[in-house]
Amino acid sequence: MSSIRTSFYEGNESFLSRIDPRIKLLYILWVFAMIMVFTDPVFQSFTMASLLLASIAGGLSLGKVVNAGKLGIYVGLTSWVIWTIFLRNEGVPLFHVFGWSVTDYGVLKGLSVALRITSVLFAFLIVAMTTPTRDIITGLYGLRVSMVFSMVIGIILRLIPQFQSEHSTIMEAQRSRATEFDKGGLITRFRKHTAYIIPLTLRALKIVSDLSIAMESRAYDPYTPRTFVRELKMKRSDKVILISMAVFLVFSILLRIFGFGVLQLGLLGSGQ
Amino acid sequence: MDPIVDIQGLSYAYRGFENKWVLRDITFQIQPGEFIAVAGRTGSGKSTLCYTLNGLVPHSFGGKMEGFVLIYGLNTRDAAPAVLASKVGIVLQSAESQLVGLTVREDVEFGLENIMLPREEIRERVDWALDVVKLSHLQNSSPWNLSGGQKQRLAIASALAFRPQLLVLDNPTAELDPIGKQDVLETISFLNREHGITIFIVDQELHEVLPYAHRLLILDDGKVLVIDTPEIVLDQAELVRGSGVKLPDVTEISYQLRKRKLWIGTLPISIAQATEKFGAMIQGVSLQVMPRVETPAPEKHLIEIKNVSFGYPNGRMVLQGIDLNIDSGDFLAIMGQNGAGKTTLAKHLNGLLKPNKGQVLVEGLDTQKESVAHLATRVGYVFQNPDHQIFSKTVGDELSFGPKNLGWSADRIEQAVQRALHDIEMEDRREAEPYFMGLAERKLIAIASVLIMEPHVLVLDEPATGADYNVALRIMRYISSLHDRGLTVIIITHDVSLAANYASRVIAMRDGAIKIAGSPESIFQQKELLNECNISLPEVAELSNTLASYNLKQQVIRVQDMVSLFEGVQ
Repeated sequence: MSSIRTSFYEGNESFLSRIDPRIKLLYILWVFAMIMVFTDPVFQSFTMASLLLASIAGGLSLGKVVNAGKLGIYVGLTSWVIWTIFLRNEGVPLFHVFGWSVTDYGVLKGLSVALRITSVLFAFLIVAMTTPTRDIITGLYGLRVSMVFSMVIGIILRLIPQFQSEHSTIMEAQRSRATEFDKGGLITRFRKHTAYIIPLTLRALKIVSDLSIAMESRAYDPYTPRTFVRELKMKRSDKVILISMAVFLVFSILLRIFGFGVLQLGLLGSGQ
Repeated sequence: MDPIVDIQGLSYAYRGFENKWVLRDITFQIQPGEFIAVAGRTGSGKSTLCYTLNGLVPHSFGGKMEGFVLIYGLNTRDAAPAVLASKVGIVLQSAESQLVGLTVREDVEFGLENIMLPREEIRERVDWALDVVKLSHLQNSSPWNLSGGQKQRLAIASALAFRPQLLVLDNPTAELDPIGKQDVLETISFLNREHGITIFIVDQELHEVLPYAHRLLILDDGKVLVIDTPEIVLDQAELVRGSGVKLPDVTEISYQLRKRKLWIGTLPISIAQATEKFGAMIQGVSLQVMPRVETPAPEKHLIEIKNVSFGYPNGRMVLQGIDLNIDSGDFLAIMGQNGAGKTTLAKHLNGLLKPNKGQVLVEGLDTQKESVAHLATRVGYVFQNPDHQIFSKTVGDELSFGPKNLGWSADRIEQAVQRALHDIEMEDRREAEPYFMGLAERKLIAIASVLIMEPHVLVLDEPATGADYNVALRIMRYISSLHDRGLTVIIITHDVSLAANYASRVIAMRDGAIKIAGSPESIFQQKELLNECNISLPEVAELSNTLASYNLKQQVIRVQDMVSLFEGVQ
């Protein structure tokens, strides 16, 4: 029996885990807004630093957070490389690779976009790792998000790890039939991958169908109001964090209006 | 007294299949406080009948419905599941598919939040429900870390928290080890006896559920074949067997004797009922059953497992110091409690898992150094759920997938596919879509698609779980025929009767270690050690133990041996 994880929530008791879930959900939006306000990676680094702080406040090991967000890091790095390659005609050339210019603008723009992609993902992961799924639903509902949407988010968070477990079983079943997914040409690999995509899709439908039967049997109706056992109460620390986020956001917008935080060329030197 | 359930002329067909009736003209009533056991072959309509009792049919599934279902006078056509939830609790077969909460407590609270109870009342009801099913001490645990029996008890608590008058349970013990099954059934019986809750339970293992049941309902092809007291129903043994339901072993033995005119009177349904009569038959006669001849172990083992330990990256140890040899021609049954490490051990045999410590040698090859693809030609592994494996559009394509991966020539693949189709009696269904076939066919295709790679050892994880008696028999006969042809077979199973009937060797595991190993005859003499591994004795072995006081000298563990023994007396 493998070790089954059915939620991103780590279960650690920490400063962040005690924060009102509404504040944590607003933090994700705050990260999104802050990272979008600036295009200069130096200014964006403040938001990234807040993620580091949040991880520490959540009692999360950095290795675990990075591991959970591996996919986002790959996407971010890929995006950085693509921007660097294609923005070869803008900005100051730093060096050449096989005759292809790498410019400071390409590097910085790529980095800026990569930070935008990864920051929101990591904000979400840190919140999910420090908040029980049910508190996320309660928080969304508390923020006046519709019940249907709140439950959908909650169910997705509950199902993702279960699908991961199903995926692993199906991969093992196919590997037992001598399937080597990383061998062969493009068409062969595509054919091999259908060996887990099709069963996984059908299993996913079955799991969702079974869960919906179980939920309906327990009187769940998405269109009627419900009680939440967990009462949301803003504590003083929650209010301080909320006000701080608002102050930082307003200050950042003002900085941007006055021309700060915009991508500066020449930051990396001429390179010639 | 007014019935709690009144079903009159109920017929039902699912949406999209309105011409195919799943339930046909069903009429019966259930009185308050009754315990009704339901059995029938796969596809006979048992689950659908359960869904009609809490309004999922027709409200959630749609489709075409005739007749009516009244729950305490309330027509289910007019009451949605959310309304009926306070009267009818339902527990489904797979406990995991019902888990909603992140903790045990949250899971029970979920339903009560939906009916908008005040917070204080929710807390009170949750405390009560968890106390009834004896899970209070685990209320803050993750439900995913509970044992199979505990998960099912949690599902019962979630239904119970609504304080329903009727509890509907759809095969709740199918995935549990024998002691876990007893645990859940005793909880259900307690609710019936002490709280007066009416029980409607689908269970294929009649010998386990009948001690608690007032009436037994047999469904066949969507119709009520018979509903009456268990004694009256099982006395019509031919009818029951014909509907794909396995008789309790004592009933089967006496039925076999009745066919040979060696049994007069009604058939017994429990060991207690059978003992006196069987005892009288053998009283004063000295009986010995011929022991099976044990073959000496060969010098070279097919698989050697040497001091293997394995743990997952989170540090949890699953296997600890396993030593085991598997020889050519073995039919080994791996048994033990849920989570004992049976599947983890089996996954070491084809290299899916590599030991953290120790060594697994398959025909001399160290699995640590070999790829799974390479080992697949030596050890075939069939997973429990065929749906984890099947993906092709046709049976022929599914069978040829493994050989193609191995790079076989087209001619060789064609010959192998034809042979495999012949073996599973599906020559005329080569172009059929496996996904639309019944469970038995899907399981057979899954087995054949592994066997086609010509492994020397076949590992099967719970080959008969979820299958009705006829389906299980068909699958096990196929596996047995493969073993007779020289294939070494390893099965992981909770089914003691299956292990007793087919295995030549049994190992019982607990907490990642092998606690007992030996022939089925020797294993099933160690009741207390087996209980520690959550394994109960086969019903025949229990009968044999009680007959020891009537001069039966040796333990009998198979139905056929017991029938032969009584025949010999006459």
